[in-house]
Amino acid sequence: MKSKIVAGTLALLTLIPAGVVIAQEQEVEQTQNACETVEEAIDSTLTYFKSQYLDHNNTYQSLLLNLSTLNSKAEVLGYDTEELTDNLIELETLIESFTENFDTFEQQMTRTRNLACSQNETLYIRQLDQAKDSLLEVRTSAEDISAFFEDTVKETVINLELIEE
Amino acid sequence: MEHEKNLKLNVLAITTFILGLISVVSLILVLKSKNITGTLSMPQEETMEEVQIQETEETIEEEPADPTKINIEAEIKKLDDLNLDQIEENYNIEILEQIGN
Repeated sequence: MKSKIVAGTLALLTLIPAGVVIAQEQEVEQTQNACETVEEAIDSTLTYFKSQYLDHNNTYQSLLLNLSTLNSKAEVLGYDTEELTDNLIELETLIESFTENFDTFEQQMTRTRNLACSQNETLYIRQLDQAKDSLLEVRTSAEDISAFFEDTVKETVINLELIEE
Repeated sequence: MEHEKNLKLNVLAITTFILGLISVVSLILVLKSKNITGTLSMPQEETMEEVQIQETEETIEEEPADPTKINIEAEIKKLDDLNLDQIEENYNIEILEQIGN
């Protein structure tokens, strides 16, 4: 009788490591699924922002084109275009800055994606924070462009005057 | 008992039908009267004034611009139509917050 109890206990004890292995495998699978979900979320977020950026960059190029055409027309008609020419140069610089900031944001997002399945959560969170910071930079540069347009460029266009001879 | 119940149900059905019929007829009459009043209350002079205003507006728009001067208002409108001030709103940090969670 005693030997039967001992045998049964031993059999049960041999099952414990098997249970631990199964639990570990399940945990690894869950982590893998979670990181794949995060990767997909990053991909779709980046695709969304990229399409926004392309649209906005087109708008900025239209703005530059409209202002360049106006500048040339005003020059031909004898208007003082010195200020508008300066504004155009400044605007080009601001738009370049917007493009550079978006490129940085894209790089930060790609790095974040690469860390999503790295098992190093601290590094991933730090990288995601950097991506957030660079998105703020993109937003700030877009704000700078619209502020410059509203406060300076529009005033310059309104105050265009013919050169008196 | 059963007969009495059936009789009550029949009376109820007929009453509902008559009330529905009255509602539909009233609705048609109200709609018709509104339409007629709307047409009659439109004064002839007002209509003529509106047409004249529209014609004046069209004349202003069609007036040819001075080719030796820049139409500042038109240029500003062209630039405003690009809606630059709405661009920054699209770079919303909250979208990234969701990934962090």
